[in-house]
Amino acid sequence: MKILTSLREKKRYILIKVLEGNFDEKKFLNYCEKIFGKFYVSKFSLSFLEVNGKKVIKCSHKFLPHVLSVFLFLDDCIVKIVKISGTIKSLSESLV
Amino acid sequence: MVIKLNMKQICDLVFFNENDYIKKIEFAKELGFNGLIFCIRFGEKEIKEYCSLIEKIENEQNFFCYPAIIFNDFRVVRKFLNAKGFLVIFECKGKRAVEKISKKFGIDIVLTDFLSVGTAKFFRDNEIFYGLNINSLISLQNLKDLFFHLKLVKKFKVNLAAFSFANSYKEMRDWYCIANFLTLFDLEIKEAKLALCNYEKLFFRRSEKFIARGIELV
Repeated sequence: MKILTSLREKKRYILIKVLEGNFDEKKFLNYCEKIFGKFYVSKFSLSFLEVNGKKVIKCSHKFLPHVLSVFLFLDDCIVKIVKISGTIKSLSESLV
Repeated sequence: MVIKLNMKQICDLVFFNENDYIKKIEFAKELGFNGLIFCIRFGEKEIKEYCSLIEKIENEQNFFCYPAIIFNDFRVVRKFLNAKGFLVIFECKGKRAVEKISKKFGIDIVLTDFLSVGTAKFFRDNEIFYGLNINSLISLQNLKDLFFHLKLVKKFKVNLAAFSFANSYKEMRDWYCIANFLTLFDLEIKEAKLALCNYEKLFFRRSEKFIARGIELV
C-alpha cells in the first residue's frame, strides 16, 4: 500500500563505530525495552543495517535522543557516533 | 606548555588510575572530548604530588588534563575551599549535608542526592555546579530523583556538570549520547551541551590569578 509522502515518517541513520567489545543488536533491543518499555520502543521503528561493513542504525527522527541515550546503558561495549544523517547517500562520505 | 580549554570544548571527568590513564586519554580523543579531568578521592594520594603528576601527563600526552579531588567529609573540605590548582568536588547524601554546604563558598562541584529550591538558588548565586554522575544513573534507580533535580536546575539556571565518572576506560561514553540523554529530561540540546563544556569558570577560579569574584591578578 502506498503512503502519502507527507504522511511518511522521517528517519535518521546513525553510523556507529564500535571502539571496544561487541555490539549485539539483540542486547541493544533488550536495553531499549528495559529502559523505555516495549510499547514505546515500537514507535522507534528501529532497524539495523550494515553498509560497506559498517554498522548503521535506522530510527524515527522523533526518537533519535532516546536511541542515542541507550548507548549509555550498554555495559560491555563502547560505541562512537560517527555521523547522523537523514539519507544513506549522505552517509557515504563517512563510509568510504 | 599549558593547554587551555575554551567554552566550546568538551571535557569529561574520570577517576585516575595509574594503570589505564593512557587508555582513558586515547578513548577520550576517540569519543570527541577535548580534555579530561582526573579525580581521586581525598587521602588516596598526596595532593601536591598528584597535581604535578597530572601536569606531567598533560605535557607528555599533549592533551588537556586537570586534577580534581572528591571529598566526603565536610570538616576536611573546609580546609581546601580556597586551594589552587585542583577542583574541589563534594559528595554528600541527605538534606543535612547539603544544607551545611549551603553556608560555605568555594566548592566547585557538588554531587548530591538532595536538591531543594533553597539550595538550587544558593548554587546559582555562588556558581557552584550541580554534578551529575552518568555512571550512577545506569543502574536506573536514581532516574526518578534526577527528573525533579533537573527541573530545579533548569528553573533556577543552576550550572550543570554532567560527567561519566568512569572507573575504567570501559565506562566512558560518547559525549553526544550524554547530551542527548539529558534532552530526555526536558533540557534543550544547547543546555545539555553546556553541561559538558562550560567549565572555564571553574578552571579560572582555581588558577593562581584568581583572588575573589571579580578580582584577579594582572
